Amino acid sequence: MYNPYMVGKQIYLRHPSEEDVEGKWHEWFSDEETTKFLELRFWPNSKESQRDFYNSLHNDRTKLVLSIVLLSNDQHIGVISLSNINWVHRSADIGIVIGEKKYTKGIYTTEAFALILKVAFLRLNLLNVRGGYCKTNQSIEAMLKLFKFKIVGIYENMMSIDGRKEDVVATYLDRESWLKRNIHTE
Amino acid sequence: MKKSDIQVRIKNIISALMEIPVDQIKDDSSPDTIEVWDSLRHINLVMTLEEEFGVQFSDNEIAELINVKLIIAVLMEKL
Repeated sequence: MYNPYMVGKQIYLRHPSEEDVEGKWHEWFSDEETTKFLELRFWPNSKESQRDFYNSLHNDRTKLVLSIVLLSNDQHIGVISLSNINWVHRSADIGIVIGEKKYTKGIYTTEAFALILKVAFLRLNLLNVRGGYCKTNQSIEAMLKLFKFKIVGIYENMMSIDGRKEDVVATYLDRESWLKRNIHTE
Repeated sequence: MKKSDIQVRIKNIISALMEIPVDQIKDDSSPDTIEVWDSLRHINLVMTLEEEFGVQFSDNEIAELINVKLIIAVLMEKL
């Protein structure tokens, strides 16, 4: 385990590393299937672009990007983030990408979500975490429902996916609701 | 509720959601051993268990539900 920031049972989260930049990280953001529901999907990614992004993270306190790493063998399988962190309103947007497709099948996404919410509400002391998803993205819809995100509205025809206009669903989870479900286990 | 009854109910739920015969579901069955047990079905399983048994899992508990044996154990503690 290298530089762990939040440790779970199957995975841990840590700051991205030089090795991540040199690895497959940049390839995930060129892959058509992986980026289908991401705003980043329009342009191919490169190792150089990934390095620029990695370098931009060091002093950026409006964005927390963490590598998702397997505890069993230290493999970097994805990234999870809190972005648009607003320190006045204490809110942020949640995002996740499991780049190594073999691991999209298992419970790694679920555990990564559980860990980043713990980071958001206990370590960063945020009050609200927002989650937005394209209406046809069943996986993220189910994930946000599982973690009790509340739907607050729909942006009609906000995204263009495979030539079709798609609605975007806006959700959020507040700290009080999260604490009620989790405080007894902390 | 007896542990054996809970085991049967859980295995029936998994069988229905994964669309596989109940006799193929063992205590060590997990997403690693059942091909169709993907992340979406896993999430649906957790939400169905919450609904069927009238419980709510914490985030830590959700992360522990990685095979049938652990699902039964975590659920038993909440009932």
